Amino acid sequence: MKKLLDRVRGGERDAVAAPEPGAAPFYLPQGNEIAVFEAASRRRLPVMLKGPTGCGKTRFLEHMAHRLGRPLVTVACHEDLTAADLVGRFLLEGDATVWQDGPLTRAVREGAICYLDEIVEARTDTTVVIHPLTDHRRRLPLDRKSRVVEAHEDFQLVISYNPGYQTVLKDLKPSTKQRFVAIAFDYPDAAAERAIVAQEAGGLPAGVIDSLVAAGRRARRLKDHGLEEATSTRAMVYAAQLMQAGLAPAAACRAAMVHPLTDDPELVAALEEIVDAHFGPDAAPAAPRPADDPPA
Amino acid sequence: MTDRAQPDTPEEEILAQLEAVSYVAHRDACAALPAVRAVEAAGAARWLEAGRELFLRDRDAGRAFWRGTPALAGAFAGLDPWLEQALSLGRVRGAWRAVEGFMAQAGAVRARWGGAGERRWFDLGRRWTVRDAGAGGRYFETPFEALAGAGAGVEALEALLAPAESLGEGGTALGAYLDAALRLRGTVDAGTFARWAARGADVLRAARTRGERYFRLEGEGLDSLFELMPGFSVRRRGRLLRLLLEAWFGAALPEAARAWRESDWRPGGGAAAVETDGRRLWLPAVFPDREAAVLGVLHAAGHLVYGTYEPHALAAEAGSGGPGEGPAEAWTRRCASVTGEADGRFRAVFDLCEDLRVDLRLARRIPGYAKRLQRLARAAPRPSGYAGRLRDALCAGLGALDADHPADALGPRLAPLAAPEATVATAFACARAWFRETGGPEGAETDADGAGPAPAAAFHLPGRGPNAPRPAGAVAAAHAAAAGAGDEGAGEAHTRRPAAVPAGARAGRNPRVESRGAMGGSGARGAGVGSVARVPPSPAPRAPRRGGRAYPEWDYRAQAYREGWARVHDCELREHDAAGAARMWEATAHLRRRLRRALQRQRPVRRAPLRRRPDGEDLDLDAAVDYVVARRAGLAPRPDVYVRRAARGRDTAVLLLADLSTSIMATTPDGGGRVVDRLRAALLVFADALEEVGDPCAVRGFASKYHDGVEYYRIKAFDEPLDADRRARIAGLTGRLASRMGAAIRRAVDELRAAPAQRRLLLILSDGRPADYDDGGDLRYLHEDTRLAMKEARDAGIHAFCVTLDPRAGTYLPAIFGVGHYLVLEDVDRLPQRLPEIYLRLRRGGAA
Repeated sequence: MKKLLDRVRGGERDAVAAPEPGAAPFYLPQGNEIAVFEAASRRRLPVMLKGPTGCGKTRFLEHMAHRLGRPLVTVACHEDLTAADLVGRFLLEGDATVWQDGPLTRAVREGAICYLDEIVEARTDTTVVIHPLTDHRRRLPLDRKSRVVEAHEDFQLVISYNPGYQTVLKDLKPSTKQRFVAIAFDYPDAAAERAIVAQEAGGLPAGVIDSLVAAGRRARRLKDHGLEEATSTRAMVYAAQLMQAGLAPAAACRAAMVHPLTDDPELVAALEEIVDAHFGPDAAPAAPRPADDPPA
Repeated sequence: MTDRAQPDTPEEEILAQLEAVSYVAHRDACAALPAVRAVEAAGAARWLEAGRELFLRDRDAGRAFWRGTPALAGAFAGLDPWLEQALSLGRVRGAWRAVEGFMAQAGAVRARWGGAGERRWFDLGRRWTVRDAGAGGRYFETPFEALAGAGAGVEALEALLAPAESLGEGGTALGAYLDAALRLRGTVDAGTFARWAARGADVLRAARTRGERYFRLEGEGLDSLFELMPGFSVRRRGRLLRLLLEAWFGAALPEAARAWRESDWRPGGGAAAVETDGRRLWLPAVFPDREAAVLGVLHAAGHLVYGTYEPHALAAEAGSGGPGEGPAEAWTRRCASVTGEADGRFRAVFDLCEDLRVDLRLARRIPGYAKRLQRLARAAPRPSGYAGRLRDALCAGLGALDADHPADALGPRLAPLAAPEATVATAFACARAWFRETGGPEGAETDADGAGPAPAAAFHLPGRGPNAPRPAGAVAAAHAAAAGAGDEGAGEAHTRRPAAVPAGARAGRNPRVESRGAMGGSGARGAGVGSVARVPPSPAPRAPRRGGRAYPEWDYRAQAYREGWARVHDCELREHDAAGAARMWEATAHLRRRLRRALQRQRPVRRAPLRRRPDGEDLDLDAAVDYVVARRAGLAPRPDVYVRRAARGRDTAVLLLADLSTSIMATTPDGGGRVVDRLRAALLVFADALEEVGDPCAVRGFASKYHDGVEYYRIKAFDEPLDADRRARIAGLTGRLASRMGAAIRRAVDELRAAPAQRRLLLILSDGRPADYDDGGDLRYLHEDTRLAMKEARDAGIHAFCVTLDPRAGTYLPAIFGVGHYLVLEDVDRLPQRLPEIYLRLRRGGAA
């Protein structure tokens, strides 16, 4: 009943909550990342997820949190995010002041996985706050309260960052990076990508998914030729979901994989050529699955 | 001396007079006289009188008159009106060619278009002759049917020449116009041609020599035509093709092929098609449409990727040539090995088989390729004769591209092409067997017109051409043209290859006439803006230059920096031109005033909120809460609880880095001055404006000769005022040497790092691609280095922007500077005005 009401109203739940029962969010392993994460988790080591946009970092973490049965607190970092936003601050309540924990503090106290997404976007003082949490001390100093929170034994810190688009000026300091166990992600290979898209947008014919993934991977080659971010697996999933919702394949690809990526007219034209090759009026629906890179 | 009888009739008197002047004239006149008497006995005297006048004015005109008379008298059955017409032409000074052409053609014109048509033909020509005798000559000696177009009437002729009416007393431009009109008819639609001619008329009014060059389709004229022509412009949209090659082929396509050049294809020079030398691609400036462009380029790249031009692929089939045999010669020899001579038919059959093989492979790689190609083939008009049969065979073959079993669909003869292991040798063998058996595709159609290589090659689809590699000479010429139209070498490249004029238009020309060269100068140089000519690595040993600052240079081949490879020497400019500076100061006064006003008015006012201020317009809520909390807690916090929205101070430093290589000494494309003059004015105006506005501004120039000789010129430093001395330096700027841009950028970044500002802008003024004497012709080397230098600049927090005068910059600057980080100024004259706009744009986007 509560779930139904939540769905109607847009439910609100506590940020620190155990994973919902049921199957874990779908994640298709590409390598040994699950083993690495589990090992790090057993030893409570902080983890850094590196990889391009939309390759599955966040999904991986959701999957792992579910698998490990831990609450997950996600903080999307932005350039105005200060240390106080993470740690907490005093608020006025009537005539008194009350301390309000920030998401990081709550995760530390309650033994959650705290996920700082795109940490480089945050102001530099935030990275200083997390230092004592990432080594053997595992504690969070609350300067304003003159207190220290010892981390719950299940607390784990995870950060993500995308080594591509930020400038060197914004990069993490080597001293910060060294404190983490790093797992590098990249876009999955073609077969895995097909499986992912098929899973996320169930019910699409295999031929359509083959073409969609082929088109997306083809478009990915235009990165570094004006395309700042390559076509992501997530974009392909979105396109597939649009198709599932009844949109024509070519239109779905345009909406999810062309226009969000670039405003450059020539790039748009090139991407549309690729989409049309796979989904345009000329595309042969029964075409054999295109090989990734046929030998020259 | 013998006694002569006194002439008793006017005719005899004239004949006697002629005899005294010229034996030949007398003889010719006597020979033609009976024909005149036969049609109009009473007119003989009138005729002789006219002939004498013509002859005395110009012997050539007279001779043409005598000799042409019998035919005209017969054709017109009398002396009118042609006698008067010839005479009126002959009275124009220097119009002997017009008379000659008139006499030769008037009869045929009358027979074809009747008396009224002949009169209109003559009136048009006479008007031209009066304006310019040479152009009139060109008009009358060009076969009238060629002028009007096959099967068309005099109306078509009038339409052809109508745009020329606005040319005014254009002199030789009329002749050039006629040439251009004939050449472009059939390839360029009437509307485009009229617009092009109208633009040319404007140019001609502005400057006569420029206008003549325009109509000769040199430089500006050609650029303007390419711009106006409908279709797919490679100059504007070439990047799309590049992106598609990248997407579909990626690393499989050699790097050289992705950096194509513009071919020397001109409208009227056959179908626009991709050419290759087996390694690189040459694209025409304009394709008929986007589909032809995309499919043509993909197909040509397919040939490169699938080994059509492998040097040894055909050795087993046709033997290998001697040492030093180029790809083009090898191709010819192989084709000749089948037929015993370079037969265009076998070539075409071979092309057909090889094209099909490549298309089969491409259809497997590129989804939708087969359908698009089939549609293109259906839409293309079918040629006649042998080429038509080839086209039918090609279309049938293309139908197999998306068949489930291509080998079955192709039929037994071509089935081997569909095998995955098929190579160019397979195609060669297929073609040879086919050719030897039946002479290629058979059909009921006669192939009377299919004998030569050109008609057979007409079977190719739009955008595609024969597979024979370009001969080395053509490659070199195009190479020179691509290296930059501004230098003399490129100017020659334009004029070296004579323009292709339709055969019909040339047929009527008299070679003797050509040699008299009445059509004015032909040695005009193409003008334009480009970079230095490519110079091969110097074989002579050279003492390395020491000193200066060492900078690393990126070597893309090694994917590594060459540490300390480039040496940048800070130099003073010796040339000062105080008088020139004063003149420029005066000449730019109006512009500078306008610019200063505009800069002040458009001064960017970014109202970034400053938080936690002791005073301000708004409360800073977070700070206020913190403040209250701290007070409650018994502390004594500073009451910094306001947000201030003050405009940030102008704290931007600009370094203008000007490319001072030789190419800036070129004349501007419109021929109205030199690039360097505009550059000087632009630097002066810009520095003055910034001074007025108060932003720190430095001006630097650079030029280079070899990697250890990059010179970095002090023109104005950040802390120096723009005084008379600095202005004189700017006015004295000249072009020298080449442009090793990467090293200069690194030096400028060093200087900017120390600049007294938070935002730092590096503005590069260039007129061509980075190049140097020792880059060995490898364009990519310095491109890649410059790209890396830009990246370093960005990493150092410096926003860099390039303003270029090179119209071809769109082909390489996006890769170097990134989209949105460069600007191509198509009009050099606007450089001084445009710089402030760019400045404002940079200020907005500059890294804070």
